[in-house]
Amino acid sequence: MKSIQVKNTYDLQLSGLPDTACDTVDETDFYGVSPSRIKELKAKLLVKEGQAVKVGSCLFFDKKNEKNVFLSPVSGTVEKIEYGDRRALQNIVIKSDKQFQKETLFDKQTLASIDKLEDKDVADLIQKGGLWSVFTAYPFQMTPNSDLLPPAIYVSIDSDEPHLPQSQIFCEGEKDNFLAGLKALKKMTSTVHVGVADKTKLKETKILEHVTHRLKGHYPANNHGVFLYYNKKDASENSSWGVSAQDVIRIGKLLTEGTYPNEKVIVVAGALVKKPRHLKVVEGYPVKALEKELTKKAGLRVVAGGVLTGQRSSIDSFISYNEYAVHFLQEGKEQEMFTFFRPGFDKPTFGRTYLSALVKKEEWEMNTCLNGGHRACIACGECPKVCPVESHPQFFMKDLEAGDIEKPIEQGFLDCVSCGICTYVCPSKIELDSIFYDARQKIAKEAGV
Amino acid sequence: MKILKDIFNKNEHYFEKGGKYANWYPMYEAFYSFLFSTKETTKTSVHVRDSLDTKRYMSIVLIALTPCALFGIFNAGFQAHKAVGESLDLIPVLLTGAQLVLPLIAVSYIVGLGVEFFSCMVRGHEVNEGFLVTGLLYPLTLPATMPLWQAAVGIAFGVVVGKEVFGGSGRNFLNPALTARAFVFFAYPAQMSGEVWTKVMGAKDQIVEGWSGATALAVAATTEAPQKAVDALQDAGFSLMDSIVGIVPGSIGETSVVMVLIGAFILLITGVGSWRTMLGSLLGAVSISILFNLFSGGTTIAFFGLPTVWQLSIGSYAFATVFMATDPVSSPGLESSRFIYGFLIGVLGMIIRVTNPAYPEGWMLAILLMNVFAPLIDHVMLERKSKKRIPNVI
Repeated sequence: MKSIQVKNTYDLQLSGLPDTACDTVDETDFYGVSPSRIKELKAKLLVKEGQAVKVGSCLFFDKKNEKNVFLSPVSGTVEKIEYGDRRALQNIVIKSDKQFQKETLFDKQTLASIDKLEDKDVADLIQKGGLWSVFTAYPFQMTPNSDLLPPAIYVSIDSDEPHLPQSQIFCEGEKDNFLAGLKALKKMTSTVHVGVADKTKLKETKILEHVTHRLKGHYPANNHGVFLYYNKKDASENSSWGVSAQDVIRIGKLLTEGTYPNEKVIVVAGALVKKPRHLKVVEGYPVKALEKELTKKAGLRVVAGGVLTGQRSSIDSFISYNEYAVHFLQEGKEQEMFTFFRPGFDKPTFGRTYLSALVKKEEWEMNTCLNGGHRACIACGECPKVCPVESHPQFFMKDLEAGDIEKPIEQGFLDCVSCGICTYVCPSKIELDSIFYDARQKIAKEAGV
Repeated sequence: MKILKDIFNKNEHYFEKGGKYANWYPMYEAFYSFLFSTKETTKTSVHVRDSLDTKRYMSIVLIALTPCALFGIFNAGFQAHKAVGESLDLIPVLLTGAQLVLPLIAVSYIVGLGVEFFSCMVRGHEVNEGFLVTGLLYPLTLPATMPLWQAAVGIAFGVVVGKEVFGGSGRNFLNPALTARAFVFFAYPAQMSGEVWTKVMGAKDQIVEGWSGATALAVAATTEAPQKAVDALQDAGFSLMDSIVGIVPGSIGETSVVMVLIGAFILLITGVGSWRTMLGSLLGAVSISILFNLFSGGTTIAFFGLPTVWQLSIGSYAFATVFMATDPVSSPGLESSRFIYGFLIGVLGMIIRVTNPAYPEGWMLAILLMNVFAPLIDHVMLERKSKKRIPNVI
């Protein structure tokens, strides 16, 4: 097993670390999915209000990538289809019949039968099973084109973003599914790299024996893009794919059962949650049903996913596709006077400009306050200190703002894994993440991806 | 406090886009954000943010500058009293110093901020905290004898040409404080030549016998060959200890190495000032000064032979290295380039100081010159770094 020391990582020490308890939740009447949070999706809706669906019935697909289908996580009838601005498909609400009747998508597979499949067949089954979007195709970090197969797949078992499910919890009792999933990935490509955190709490030896790399460092050392960056030997690997361990388990489950794996382990976390912990839920579980977990109900920010890469959700939304966390954060904070002349023992910061640097604190409670005004870049040099792929966000930003795309690409812009940590530390509060996202989309468009 | 906050919040709509006084928004934002922390929240996928903002960043520099400013007030008064033989007790000295220095600082802030506010309103960007630093750095580089109107013209030039024409703090490639300083140096050479920088109060005949008022640099630069520069300095009443502590004539904030070192400590421990720039500059200055010492002899000018310790203690070397060279905006952006940048500042500044009789001091010109070359150093370093990467291109 190789060891990878990831440079420039940072531990946010965000409060609300989820407990290792994994509880189940009460069933509710209405489930739903939120297509609007799937980036760059052009959804083609396949169901109407009032239509009956089963677990695994196709709800919609991506017009640009027609085999990338999205399946219903529950059985029942489509209650409501909600549209947002410019008729973007916001939510599909399904009234559950509480039966969870599963539609058979294909014949059940075994480890041996997966072994006999061709690479394209495996891809075909995953596409039919609605799990194609669990893959991230680098360098553009999009769902891969359904006709393509990757040079390598990077599986990251742990996740260090605050806060996502811990591997020892979602892997429990799932080793067979993991192995089946891994076998499927190995059919799709010649090399599958499996990385595990240096400090992993995973004990499952059957899974650990497939691990190829140990990843050392804080966030985002366990990001599969970072793993790819440190492991690649030449440029041909740039278009590798990444996938998380829970999704490998779900792929395994899909193949061995032939039905859509609608259950997943999520975390409910954040400063406003009474007891942050893991929950086993059915996909599409309403966020509203978690309201009883909260210490307050007004002025909160609901985030689907981790707090550095997750998307803004709302209390009326659902735990949708590829979302493994719900965070409830305080929206903004009380304004205080002369904040920048205070000693700042209570202010979490990357550098040493506040006296909080002297405080040995386990965790910091954070809110969504911007903590400063938007300013021009003052070249303070904080962002390269936290860039896990050793690039220079401030130079990329300046070049991109000036309309130069070539220079950033030459300097490694496409190695960026969108971890968001440069945006976190920026004292000028420049939204580097969205500048980089837009640029990446533009490059992808020009490259015809 | 709450009442004040309510007043701001209640009147915000006047200043927002489309409001009656939308042009005045930068002014409103500047005062509001000076008094209260922002209520703005994150919009993108990064939902939490670090507590550091540019205000905190710049106020750390202000804190680091405070010892220099306070000592500058004392020293301006001390030198003035010494010249005419008045009481050297602390309180009268400080009062005289405050009379000399505070108007300069006030003029710098009022005129500079006025220009800054005006350009922000014209150009529609927020007022940048960078000026809080520029506004204090600049008067500290001036002699206490500087007429106020000249100081005002200088800072106005520095803010407009050094910064605002390029789009404000962050987009300037020259250090605005040094641009202002360079302007007054070239525009008003009579006041800036470094000959006599001590305020002479009262009539000329009150001057104490034997007092010349020349700065250490002026003495060292004019020493004739057979005499050693050290002897000339000591004859003129300069001791090494005085130069390090800073009770010698010179620009307001630059004389005391001790106070600058306190500032350097604050900048380094908070990580605001780049240690690479400072170390580079130190190495550059030391190596050139040692080189000069090696070449010094009967045929060279006496300044060549001045020992390194003296070279680092007199003039504005320490101040320039710690506060001027480390300005992040006009420095190169890469940490590795900053070392080269600092080193070249040390080398060039020492060469200009010692070999060019037209300029009493070299650091201002060396830093401005290196400011211009900073993007080039970055470019070379970035090219080198890109070559080491596995290409990821389309």
